[in-house]
Amino acid sequence: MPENKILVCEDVSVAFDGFTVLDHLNFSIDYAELRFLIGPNGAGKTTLLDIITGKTRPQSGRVFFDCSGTQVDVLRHQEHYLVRRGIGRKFQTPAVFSSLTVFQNLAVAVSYLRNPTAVFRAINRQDFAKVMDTLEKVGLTARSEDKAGSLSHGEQQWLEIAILLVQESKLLLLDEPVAGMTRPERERTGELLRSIGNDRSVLVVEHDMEFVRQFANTVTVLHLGKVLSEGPMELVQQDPEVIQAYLGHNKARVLQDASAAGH
Amino acid sequence: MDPSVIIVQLFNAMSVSSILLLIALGLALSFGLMGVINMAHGEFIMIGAYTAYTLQNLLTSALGDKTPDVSFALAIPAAFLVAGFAGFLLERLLIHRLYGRPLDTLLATWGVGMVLQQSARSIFGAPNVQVVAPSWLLGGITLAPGLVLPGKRIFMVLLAGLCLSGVYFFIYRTSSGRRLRAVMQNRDMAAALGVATRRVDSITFSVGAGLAGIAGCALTLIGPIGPTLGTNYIVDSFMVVIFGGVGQLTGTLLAALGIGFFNVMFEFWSTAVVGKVMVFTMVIIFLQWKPAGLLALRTR
Amino acid sequence: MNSVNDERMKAPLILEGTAAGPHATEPDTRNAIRSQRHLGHVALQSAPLALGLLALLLAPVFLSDFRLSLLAKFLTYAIVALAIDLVWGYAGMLSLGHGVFFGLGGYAFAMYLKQEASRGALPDFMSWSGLTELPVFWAPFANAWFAIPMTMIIPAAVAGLVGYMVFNSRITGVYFSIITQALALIVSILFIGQQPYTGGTNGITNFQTIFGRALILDDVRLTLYYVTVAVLVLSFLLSRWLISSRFGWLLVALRDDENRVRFIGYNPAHIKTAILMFSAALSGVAGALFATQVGIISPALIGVVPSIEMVVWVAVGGRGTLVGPIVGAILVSAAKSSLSEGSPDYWSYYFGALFIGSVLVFPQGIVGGARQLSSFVRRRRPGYRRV
Repeated sequence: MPENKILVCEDVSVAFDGFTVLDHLNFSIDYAELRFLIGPNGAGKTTLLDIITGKTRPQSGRVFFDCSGTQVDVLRHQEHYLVRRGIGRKFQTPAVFSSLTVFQNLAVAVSYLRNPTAVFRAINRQDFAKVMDTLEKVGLTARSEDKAGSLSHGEQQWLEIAILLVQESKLLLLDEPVAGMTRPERERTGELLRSIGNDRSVLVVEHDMEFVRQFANTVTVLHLGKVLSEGPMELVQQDPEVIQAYLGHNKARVLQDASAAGH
Repeated sequence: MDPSVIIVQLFNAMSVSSILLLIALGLALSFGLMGVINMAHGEFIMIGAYTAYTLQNLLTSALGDKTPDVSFALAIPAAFLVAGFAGFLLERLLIHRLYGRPLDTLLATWGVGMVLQQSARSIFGAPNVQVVAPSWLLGGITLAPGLVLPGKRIFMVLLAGLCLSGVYFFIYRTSSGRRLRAVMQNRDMAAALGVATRRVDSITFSVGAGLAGIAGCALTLIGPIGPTLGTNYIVDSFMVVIFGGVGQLTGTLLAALGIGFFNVMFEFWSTAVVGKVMVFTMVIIFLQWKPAGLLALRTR
Repeated sequence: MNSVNDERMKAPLILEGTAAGPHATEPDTRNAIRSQRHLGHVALQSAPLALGLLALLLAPVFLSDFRLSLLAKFLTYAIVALAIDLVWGYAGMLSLGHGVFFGLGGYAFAMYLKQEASRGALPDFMSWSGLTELPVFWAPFANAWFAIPMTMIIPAAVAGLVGYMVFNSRITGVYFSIITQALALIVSILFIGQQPYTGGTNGITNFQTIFGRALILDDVRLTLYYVTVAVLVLSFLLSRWLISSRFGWLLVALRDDENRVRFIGYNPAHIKTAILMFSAALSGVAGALFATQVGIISPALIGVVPSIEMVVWVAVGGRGTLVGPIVGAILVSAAKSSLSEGSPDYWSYYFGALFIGSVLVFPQGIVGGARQLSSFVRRRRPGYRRV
């Protein structure tokens, strides 16, 4: 496994009922990198996340995750094992435990670690502090005793990110983290992602081009199950292939098309 | 072992499978479509059987000795209609109100089943009653000396085949069927495209209930019937649904054949009890290997 | 899950989820205020509980022997109902096969009672079925101290085996319900079919003594009654501790979103198997107490129909609350025994209606509904502020 890579996908192919979703895909992420993954609907973005988290098994290819020096063969393990090794995921539609309080959501997430009997004991001081810090970070402290189901869409997204944070995931996979957020909420989320990206690896799937433009350093464009282009946003935007395949012929329509395609 | 015994056993297995298939089709359709399991489904079988019984009693004074011949032929469509109408009522009055609460639906429909069973007991009495089989089914086809396929069993297989073709035609060749498949795959999208999902639910559920009614009618051929007729078959047909997977007719067909076959085979080798235990164990073990059942729609 | 369901779960969780006081370890003013309120809360909640317990303790003074034995039977049902609620009301898995676990416990202890009644001879039903020797697996049950743990171990083992296979292949929802129902069917017909070993349709009955003392003696009956009350109280406290621990939150989390539980690193199959096993063990103890006090355990008491009746106790009392199932089991069983004394036929209609009504009209059950009513009243009282 190459130096400095936290995740490497080699030659990964997936097909559903004969329809190719990922086509000999090669893809990797560095340590402490904030990466954006974009592409039109059906490009295979969510499927790629499914594979990295062990939810879907590809027909061929290899996927490795670097867990502090030990190499984890992703395709040989179940989802919960990979989560414990440090691959965390936020789903496209926010998945939180709606009849638990915000605090309880994080308290069950923080307790799986170390040993299985931890869930029978009260939360310890460090974990409690960690939960409180994280709540502060995502701005949900005031709502810690409310049912997660009563949070707004945007707040549920933050709670789900907070779950990954208390778990100290090494690689965070975020599927459309700003969907349904207001502009100020998006700003805050962007800042949050940047700060997380300082010491962890973050892969963000996003349709909101404005958001991507604002916060992305490196962007990977997926098209028809292959990496079409990869690099800094400015360069990717200039790539004629990307413009041709994804953004459409008319550059002026780029913005509307891309965000319209998302929903 | 005598080969003719094996052939007769295999044929028995096939007729058992046919009945299971008729029952399971309705369950599988409504489960695939609405995600609900109807615990009163067995009572549609019972309704179909008592329809045949009632029809025979009503016609006796008019037709005398000829009654069974005529009434049974009439009983099949009648059972379909009566059970189908009962299904329609159940869907409209209860199941629809519990949409999105599959476990609650399961409990409520069990209650409906209890009420229906008790009603049958009040109307027809607790003891089993006998429907006289029509004379045109009494013989059999002699394949070889000592090897006779009974006419009743042949009829059951043919009947199931006919119903399956009908359902196949309905689902894959009619516009109602197209709407049904659309709702099954994506309810919200279908609704957005103008499919009247309520109507689709209602029709499908009624058809499924009607098929169970036909199964009940067919069951009058092989034994007496009683208020709890349905409960004897219902768990097996649940197993068919689980085993077959949801969303494709072929899965249900294969599962019905498989479970009917193994039931008869295990029963033949040991006892009916061991047969049931073995089939249950097999299904559980099978699910370890293919959790979604034999054939299930694979989507992203 | 739809909004109706969500609403239903809110009330009990406010009351019971906070009982653990996760912040109790972290003293600050806000928590101090909370814990004051919390005390009031606990007092309010505990008063009816204490009254109920007092009523159970004093029941032998007021009830005739016949009524007391009925109550004892209902209390064993209450334990099963509590066990089902942990699995269904909290973790969201509707089991239609708890009769099996109840029955396995009952049979395990009946094997002891029967051998003691036979005084070293072959149990009567075995000789009727042509057995000449005691089956090997019966022998150790002659010892009560072997049989008692077995009333928990056997049901838990069956629950563990079936549960793990089912959960490991990610079978959930109605699929799980159907499979547990099939289990109830299979086990009951298996017990009917194995007459020489299980007593067949008649089950195991005609017990005489327990620990050498006649079961018909008043003080033995009274002791058994109090043992039943003690087991019920213990099960209640254990369940309350369990659901207010983080494990309990995890159960609710499973009900809300099983996939998310998997994606915070737990294997849902393990958690579900664990709670099912615990629930099965409780049911097994209940079955043993039932067999001892009612004097019989038979396939008709453990099959498909009794299993689903058990679920209705929970639904009527109020799923997702711990008091609800106990209330439901006692009320429904009491109604059944008084109504079916008069006209057994009509009981089916009532019971069917109870199924439909408990789902359609009052899905929160008696206790859930009462709690909602009381919180509604409190909220309207001036000066009340929601915590």
